[in-house]
Amino acid sequence: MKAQQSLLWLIVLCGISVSLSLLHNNGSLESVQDTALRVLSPLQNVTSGISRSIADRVDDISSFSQLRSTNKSLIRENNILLAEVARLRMTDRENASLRQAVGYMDQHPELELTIAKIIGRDSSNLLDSMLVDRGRQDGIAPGMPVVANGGLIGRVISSSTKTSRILPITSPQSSVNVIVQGEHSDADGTVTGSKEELLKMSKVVDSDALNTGLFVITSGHGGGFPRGILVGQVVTITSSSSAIMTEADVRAFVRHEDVNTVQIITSFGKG
Amino acid sequence: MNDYPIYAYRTISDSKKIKVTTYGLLIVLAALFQASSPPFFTIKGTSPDFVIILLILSSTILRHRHALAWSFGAGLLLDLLSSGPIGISALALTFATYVSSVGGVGLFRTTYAWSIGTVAICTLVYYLITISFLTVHGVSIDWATTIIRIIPSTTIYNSVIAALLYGPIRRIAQTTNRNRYYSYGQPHE
Repeated sequence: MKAQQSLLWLIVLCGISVSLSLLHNNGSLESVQDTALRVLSPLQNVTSGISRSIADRVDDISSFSQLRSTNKSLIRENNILLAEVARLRMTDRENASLRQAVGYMDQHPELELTIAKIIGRDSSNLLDSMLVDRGRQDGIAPGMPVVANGGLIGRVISSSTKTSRILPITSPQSSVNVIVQGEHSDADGTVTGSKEELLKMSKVVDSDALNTGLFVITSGHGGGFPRGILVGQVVTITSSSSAIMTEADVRAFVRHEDVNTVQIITSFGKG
Repeated sequence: MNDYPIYAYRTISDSKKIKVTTYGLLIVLAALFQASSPPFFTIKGTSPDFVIILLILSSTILRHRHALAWSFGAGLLLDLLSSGPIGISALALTFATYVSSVGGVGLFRTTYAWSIGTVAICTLVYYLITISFLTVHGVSIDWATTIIRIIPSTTIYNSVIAALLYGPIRRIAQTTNRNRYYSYGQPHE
């Protein structure tokens, strides 16, 4: 009975459907369809908007892993490029240092120079020394003066077969005999390093010749350094009435922290 | 002292109203959703037929008497929302729902596998009727592509979606079908 009822329903509904499709073919249902679409289109717009926004979210989620991998590869690429930039900058600086070194060698034919690269610096605050990539096999020996960019940097304090350790003039353990080139006369003295930024010039003889802005060069006294290497410039002069000798603050011409390549003077007896 | 249970609050007519409203809303939403063809559900040009899935699953789970009428109404809504000839979806859906109601015996009709299988069969029936009637109406149909590619892929897709929606629809059916409530120990009509 129930099955028959269902079949009857089916026949009726199929009949209505076929009739509707025939009416649609004749164009009789156009107005009905228009009205229905006018009513339903706002709803359809809403569902379409909702489904589009869901689609965007789903798209965001699905593309998230792709974005993450792209981001990773871009970060990797960026790191490689940054490393390359750093390497090129370093090469550029090395080239500039080497050009200056070559220029210095040309200007001072009396000096025998060995170019060395700074490969390490003392990280502690105790020694303040630098390590260079030239050693005994390159003819480097303790006591040899070290210059860079035309100014005095320090001297070799120890050397192994392939490396040497340099004590910069800014170290409190360093002491260099210097002269201040005055307009009419020179003033002798000794420059020692300090933990402060400026070098201390003491034991100044003939303090009348001392003046701010004057250049301080090696005197060559004692035989440790050749005469005439630029050390720095007088910044301030300190003298008291009780003081027998005048003191001065000297700004180093070359800061060893700023250089990567140095020239070790292996012989300055020529000339 | 009253010994009767006092938890009854919904009458059968109330339950019917809830059921009709719930299914009406669900069918309208499914039709609107299907008509807007959400791109995130489209896989290689195939999107699921939410209306068929909803109607067939609810028909197998609920076995409600007015399944054919619901299908006819839903089909008509789909026809109005689409630009195709009116009546074709109504006819195909009504026929597919009828097929779903004739097959099977009471023991198996509400099982999970039966429901999913019915969705697959009804999808095939729905599409075959639709393309047949569209051809009769003079609409050009590439039968080979439709039968070899579109119908099988849609059938599989609908079955997968039906497998996912079976649980929620069953839960809705259980919620809306609670019409055996008692008031003061008596069935309340």
